[in-house]
Amino acid sequence: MRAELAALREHALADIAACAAETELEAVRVRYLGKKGSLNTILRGLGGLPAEERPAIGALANQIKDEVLARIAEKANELESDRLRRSLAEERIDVTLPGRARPRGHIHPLRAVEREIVGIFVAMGFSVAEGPEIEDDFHNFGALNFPPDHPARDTQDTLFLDLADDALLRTHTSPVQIRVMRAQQPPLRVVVPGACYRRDEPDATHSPMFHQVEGFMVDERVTFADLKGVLVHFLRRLFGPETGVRFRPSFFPFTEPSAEVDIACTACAAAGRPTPGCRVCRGGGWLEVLGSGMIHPNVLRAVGYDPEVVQGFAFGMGIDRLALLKNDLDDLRLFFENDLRFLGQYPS
Amino acid sequence: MRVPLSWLTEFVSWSGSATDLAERLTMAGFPVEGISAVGQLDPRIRVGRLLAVEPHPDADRLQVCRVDVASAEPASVVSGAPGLAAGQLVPIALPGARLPRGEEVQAVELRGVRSAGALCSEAELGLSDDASRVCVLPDDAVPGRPLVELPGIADVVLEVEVTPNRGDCLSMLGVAREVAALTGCRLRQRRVRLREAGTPAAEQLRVRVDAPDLCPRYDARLVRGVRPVTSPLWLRLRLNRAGMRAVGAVVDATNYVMLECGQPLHAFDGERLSGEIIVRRAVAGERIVTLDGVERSLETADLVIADARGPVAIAGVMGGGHSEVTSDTRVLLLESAVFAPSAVRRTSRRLGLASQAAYRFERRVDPAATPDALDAVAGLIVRLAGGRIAPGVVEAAAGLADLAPPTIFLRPRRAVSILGMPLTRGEITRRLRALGARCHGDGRAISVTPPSYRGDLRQEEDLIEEIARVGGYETIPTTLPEAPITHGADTPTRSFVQRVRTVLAGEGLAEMVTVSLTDEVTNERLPGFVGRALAPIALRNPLSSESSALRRSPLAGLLRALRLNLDRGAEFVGAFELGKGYGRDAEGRACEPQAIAILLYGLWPPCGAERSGPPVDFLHLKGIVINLLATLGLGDERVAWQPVGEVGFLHPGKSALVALDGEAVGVVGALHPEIVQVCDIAGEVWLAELDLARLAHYVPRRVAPRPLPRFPAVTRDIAVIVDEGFRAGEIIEEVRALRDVDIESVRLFDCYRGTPVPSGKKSLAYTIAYRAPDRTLTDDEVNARHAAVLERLSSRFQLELRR
Repeated sequence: MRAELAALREHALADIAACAAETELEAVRVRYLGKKGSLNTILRGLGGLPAEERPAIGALANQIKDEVLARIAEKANELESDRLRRSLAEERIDVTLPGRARPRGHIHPLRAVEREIVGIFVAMGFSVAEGPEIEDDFHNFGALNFPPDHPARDTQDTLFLDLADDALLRTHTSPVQIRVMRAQQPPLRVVVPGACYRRDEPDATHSPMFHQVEGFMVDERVTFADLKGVLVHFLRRLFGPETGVRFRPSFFPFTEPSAEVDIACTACAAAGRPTPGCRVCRGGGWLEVLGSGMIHPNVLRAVGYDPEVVQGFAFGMGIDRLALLKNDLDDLRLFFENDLRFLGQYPS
Repeated sequence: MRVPLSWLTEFVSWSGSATDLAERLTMAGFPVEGISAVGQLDPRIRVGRLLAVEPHPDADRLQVCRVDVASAEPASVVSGAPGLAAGQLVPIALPGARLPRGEEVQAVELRGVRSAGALCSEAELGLSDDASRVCVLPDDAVPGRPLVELPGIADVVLEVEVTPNRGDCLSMLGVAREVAALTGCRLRQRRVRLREAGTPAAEQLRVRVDAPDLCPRYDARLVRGVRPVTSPLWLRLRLNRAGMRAVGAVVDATNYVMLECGQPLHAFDGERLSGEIIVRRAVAGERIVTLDGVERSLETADLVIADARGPVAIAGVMGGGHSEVTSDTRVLLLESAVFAPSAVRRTSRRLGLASQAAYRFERRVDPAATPDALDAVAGLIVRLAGGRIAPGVVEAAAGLADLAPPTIFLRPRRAVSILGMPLTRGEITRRLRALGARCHGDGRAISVTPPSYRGDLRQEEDLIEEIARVGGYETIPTTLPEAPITHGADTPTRSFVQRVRTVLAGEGLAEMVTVSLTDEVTNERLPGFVGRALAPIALRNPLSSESSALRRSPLAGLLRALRLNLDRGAEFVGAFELGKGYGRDAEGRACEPQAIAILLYGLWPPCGAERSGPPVDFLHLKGIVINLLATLGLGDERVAWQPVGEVGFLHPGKSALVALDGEAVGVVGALHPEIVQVCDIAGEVWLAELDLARLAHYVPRRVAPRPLPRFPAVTRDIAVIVDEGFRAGEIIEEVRALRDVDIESVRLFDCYRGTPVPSGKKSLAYTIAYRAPDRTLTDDEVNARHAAVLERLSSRFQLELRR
């Protein structure tokens, strides 16, 4: 019986080695180890053996069974890896085919820059306010200390509406300063983004509609030095921490002292050296980006504040111009034409 | 204002470079926009003396000149210029010299005579536009010297921007005062001493001011016996470089003195005036022919200078043609006056007449300086054009007292508190005195009297600004406000808009920003959704008919952008704008509601290997809107898509009204074919406009998640054959109307036309998911529920159930 078992083992192992597919392997298992397989056939003769030999033969049979099963499993693994190897060698996709991408959307660069600007002020504790684009003379001019015959009030510069006598399209976001101050008491820290209009023929640097961000802060002791601090911080957040900033005296009806704020040219000065023929600053080395100043006492009086008690600063900037600078562009019309080949260059 | 440096430095002892000066002025509120070197002539252009001018042997029009240029041999030059005479000093460009326009002078042979150089006109030298003759140099020019070394030829011109409050700086003297105040350089004021002769002016001339409010001061002088001459080169050069044209000595002199001291001056032909000079308001309908030959009709708000016969000048704006100075003029009446800025501005605007004089009057002239300017111009005219100045000035100055500078009280503490920097009282007064102000007092306030030319200084803040300006803004510290920490915040509406923006950009659409102006026809045709009940608002003074009204719908802007992109070859336009509509409501109030506007057109871009994607259609746009609403927490069950009804700009059969909880919030659909045709667009344009305000309060503040189902769902499908006109959503609504809590969802998954479905019919297939929250539904339970659904549908609709 030992000899029979040994022969079975030999044959089984040889058959396993010869298998080329998993189905054949299963057939081998059934043939040798199945209910009606060779092993059971041999073991049926176990009863004819003396009792003392049975355990040893049984153990041998189990050992052979385990060994065969182990080899079957091993062979199955081999066959599986062969199959995988073959399929890896054969299966191919063309990874250079175009992807099935959905169209990408785009956020308008003016909106992106506006959001960036407003975000910087919000982080400094400013709240946001908005106001109507259809305004009246009082909010747009009168309360802002424009004298009655100021040229800005002229039909040459301002778009008037076929509504009430003094209905106009606001020429700046400053009327919202008046609206907020009339509605609320200091302390105030507010920025106002929005569309404004002037009677300008569209060209590279003018558009009948444009965008501003207005900001102001009113408290008992907000100073011109604070104005400088806030705006320097803002401009360095927007244009980079090394950006050169300078304040120049200027004149606006609604602030005094007034200051124009320049940044060092983003093209040439930022690269370390002002260049005479620079296309951005035309060699001046500086770019005017903001108007600002201490709110004129007449404006404070117009909204019912006492200029002896509260004071503050205000500033205003053109989003469109800042967006040109930040995007290294030189023609405003790109923003308002909405050519998709232009918009398509901006992320969603 | 254009400031030739040589002229400026006659008034202030500035010796630094032009760039440094420009920097100082810029940082003091006078931005210098350009620095240009002018008259930088090639040194091979020399002063030459014509020794002889002889006819060319072989050419009638040419002459051969021998020119002394202080070399061993006189130069021989052939010239065709008229008016040449021996003894004249003229510019001669020697061979090799490069003229300002770029051409190089060469020795040539002209009809057999050698010409070693060229005699130059002022135009050729870039000194003026006179090309008619050779420039004749002043007698003191030295032959052989480079022309560029002559005084007044080479110069540097600063282009200085002067803000409207600083009319006092619209002159060489004004800028010089400013430079002196800023740098400490010495100011050089000129004193004019006139030689007067003949009958006193007061005996020959009377001046009456009837409107002292508009003309506080009027000074006049008489000059007799002037000759018409051309101004000398130096004066014409300065006028040119300051931006004015030379026309003749008398008028040039008035302009020169105006540029020098800021006081506009006018010269009348004295013999063409009759009777006394009256400064008065015009009579309505009165007419005058101005210097430019145009007849102007006047109004009572206009101020005129009149004689016995009527207006002879519009005060401060332009002189009259009748009394214009001509070559026949021998007697001059010179006017130096102060006119009210607002009156001059009003008249000059109304008549569309902008002049250098009006520009200065509008910005206020120095009321104390009129006599000095009058003396200066009289002296200059006599120097240039001869004549005798009648003794004395005739003056009417009833309104002068009102123009006396105010006394302003300045509290040093206030200056410190506004500027945020420490300043001593001494420093404050030093800065104000540098500007010419007088400062007194030693209490808590300083009393300050500004100089007469600084009419812009009227209150304490004006002085604080000057203190900061003279010190330099760069000396003010940069601090951050002492304020409690607060959190800033964007407005809820803007946060909502940002959310919508992100969703729509994520849907593959490009955001657009379009100008809110449109034409009236588009505005009439395209009310949009938010503007549907608003009347259009027109502009009173539009720039063009294309932008003559405020749009009622942002779709107007998107359609214009569509047109532009199609013209530029786009095949797909998917765009949105978060903008406003504008209009007047029933009560006449202006409204500017915000809208979400979307436009889809063309073929989707290719998705994978295909020439293009499918054409965009209603369902694509509906899908985008559904996704948008879903982000706001507004699921299908709250949104109804209804036939559009009366929305005229949309295709009535291909559009829907979007209702949220029963309230209309927008429209989605195809642009009406008539409008599509007018816009010259091929194919359908899909539009959506939603009312932003109606949606903005739906921003989900907090998600309350439902527990995940613990038991499996069972699905059953239904297929029905219905008429073509049947709306698929009705079945879904009907199933929902059962309000069976165990029906989890119902969804259309197929819509089919064609065999075996008869024509005129379509097959719709739905899948319904049944699920109970607390147990697994048995087949029997599901079958019972499903049977109820089928029965309900069969009883409600004309339909055939498919197996």
